[in-house]
Amino acid sequence: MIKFVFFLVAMVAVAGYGLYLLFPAAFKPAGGRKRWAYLFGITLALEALTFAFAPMFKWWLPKGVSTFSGAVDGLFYIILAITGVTFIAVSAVFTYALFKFAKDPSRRATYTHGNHKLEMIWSAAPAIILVVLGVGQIPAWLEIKNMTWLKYQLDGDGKQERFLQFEVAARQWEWRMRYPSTAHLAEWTDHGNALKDVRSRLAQRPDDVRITNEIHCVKGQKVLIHLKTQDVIHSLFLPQLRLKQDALPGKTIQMWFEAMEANCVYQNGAWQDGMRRDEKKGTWVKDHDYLWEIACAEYCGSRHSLMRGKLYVHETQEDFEKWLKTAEDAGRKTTPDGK
Amino acid sequence: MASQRQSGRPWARNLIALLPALFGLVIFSGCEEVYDIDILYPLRKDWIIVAEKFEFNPPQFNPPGLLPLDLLDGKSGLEPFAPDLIKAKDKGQIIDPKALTETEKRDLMIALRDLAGRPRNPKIDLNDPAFEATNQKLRTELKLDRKTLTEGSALYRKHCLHCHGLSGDGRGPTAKWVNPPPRDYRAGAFKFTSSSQGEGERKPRREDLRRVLVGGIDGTSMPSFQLLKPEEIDALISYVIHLSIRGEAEMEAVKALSREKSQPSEEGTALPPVYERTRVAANVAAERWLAAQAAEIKPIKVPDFKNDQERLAAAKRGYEFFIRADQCAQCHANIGRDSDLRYDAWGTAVKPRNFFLNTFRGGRRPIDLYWRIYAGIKGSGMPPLVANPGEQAEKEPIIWDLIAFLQTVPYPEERAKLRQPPHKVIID
Repeated sequence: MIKFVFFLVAMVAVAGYGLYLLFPAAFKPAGGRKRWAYLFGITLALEALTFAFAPMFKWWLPKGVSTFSGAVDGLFYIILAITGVTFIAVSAVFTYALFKFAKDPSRRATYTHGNHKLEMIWSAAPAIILVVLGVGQIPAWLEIKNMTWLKYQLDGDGKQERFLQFEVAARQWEWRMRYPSTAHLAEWTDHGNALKDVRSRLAQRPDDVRITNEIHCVKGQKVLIHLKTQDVIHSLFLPQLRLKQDALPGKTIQMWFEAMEANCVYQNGAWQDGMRRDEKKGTWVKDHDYLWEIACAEYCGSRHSLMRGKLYVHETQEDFEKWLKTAEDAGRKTTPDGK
Repeated sequence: MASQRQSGRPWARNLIALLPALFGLVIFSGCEEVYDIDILYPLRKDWIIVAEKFEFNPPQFNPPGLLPLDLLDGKSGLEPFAPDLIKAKDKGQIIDPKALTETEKRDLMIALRDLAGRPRNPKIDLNDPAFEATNQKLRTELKLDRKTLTEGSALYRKHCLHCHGLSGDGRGPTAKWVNPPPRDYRAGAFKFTSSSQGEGERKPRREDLRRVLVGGIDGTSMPSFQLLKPEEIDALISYVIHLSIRGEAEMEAVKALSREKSQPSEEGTALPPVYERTRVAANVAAERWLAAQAAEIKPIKVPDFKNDQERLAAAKRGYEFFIRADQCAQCHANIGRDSDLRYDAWGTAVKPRNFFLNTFRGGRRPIDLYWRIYAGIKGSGMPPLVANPGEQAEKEPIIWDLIAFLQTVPYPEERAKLRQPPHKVIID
């Protein structure tokens, strides 16, 4: 509702100014071309307001729950600060110039050949910013995307990590997941194997658990997704995990994450997502911020926008295995009802 | 000077003043359902196969951009690739609904409008006191009431129309470009069913349609609609049944009209009018749909394998049955690797499944396989193993053996186990 009111105010402001431009006489002309200064001034003020109030309306980044979401958000905020300050400064100078020099239409502009020092400054400053950002993002990029790092983790270096591994196959327009059965779970989450062996361990088995549009994992456990596509290019996007990876035909691409919070609990005979654990009371409460989704981030056809799914992060390994067992039994049904 | 400029470029200011309005239009467009009440379901224009089975096989898969049987229109330039099909058309095995007279078309249009309503306001109304009981059951048991159908229609136009077409003809705008082509509901035949009716009259149960909608169909372009609400899925199922009954009534009427034209009736016997005929055909279809709902196939005894060896022994028995020349291997040659193309009931070139591909369109659960082996796949040429429910107890063991076998074929590890003594089944 409040979003709508805000939007309406902005619309009225812009529309009003449009009318003013169309029928200046009706608004008592303010003289000369100053109204352009007003337009840009109002626009700037609205933009600054939007910027200030956006987090209040949740026009902001979704909750970050992966181990590296802080690093990604940090980079985002640095870039936002640099571009935001620059944008406001430039717009303010621009509006000021429009206002000040609109007074006298007969005044002629002066011609200058430019200033060597200034030219140097505004060439060098962006270059330096670019280099700083480029170098600054390396650690985050390495952590998220670099397979050498992943291999190091998988190989184990004294502190061997267990990875929950499964396959995600994208197609127009759904995600098909293949999980190990409970019998082979230990094998799939096995550590001490190099990444080059990973593919052979994802061999298809008759008891694999196949589900659609849902990713299940465990809080605090590293997850390794083997991403494939059956048709065109898709992109697996997990906004709450700050993770996005294109799926390319003919390739199996690895991506990893570790969720730091759980969002689902078994209630009323089903796994409910969108639940937050109240640590003090030890109970689960509904929370809209905990509805985590899977989306496709690469236009892939007419139903691209509906190619979505849900991300379930279970609180404990037991919860996850309980879910896995249910899904496995559903896939092994030999009678229409029941087992 | 300033005022001169203002009057000099009014269009620029007009444009700026229009921008917010345009912006608003873009933002709020698509909020309201606009579908004209005058729009009717289009009459059938594509070819209908009358023959039970063709004597010939297709030379190739359907080329992209051309729907099955559309090459008979003679516009694609691909006619030389299917001379047999053209001969079949000349023999009258394939008929053309466009050949109806204008009066017949008009009557059919009116009959179907009264039967099934319009896309904006769909209904199923058999419109005859004699069929009132069926009418009532359709609304209560099959949920074909107006409210559900209207909801289903709006959802269908949003999610399904672009492949399955407005009248469920499988000829939406994207239909030409997907293989296999989208299902044409108007034949009244659905592949993945769990009802024990006879082959000719078999209809799916609502649960079968739900399974397909929620799970999608692996290996085809049918995606999963899991994220729709359960009541939305229900509305879509009702609407698909509605389209199927409408389409089947239309198809049967067209078939009958064309049959009578080729064999003129004896003098004195008046032909039933199109209106009457359509309604009777709809009633027959509706009765079958209703009967299907209660006729679920349930396994009598599920095998309980004590260990892997017992399961593999069952797989071996399944294999021995499978490769018999008069059984599965007749079509699934070399376990499907060397299957020939054939025409299905819709005229599509299809291939019997290659089981090594590990794609099971109708589902990979044992119960899904059970239903398919028991009842066959309607329209595809796959015959039922159990021709009537009385044979179920006798044939059931072989069904489970076949399932055990099919579930080992796609997996190298399982094939390796089967290769060991005492089974010694070598299939790769």
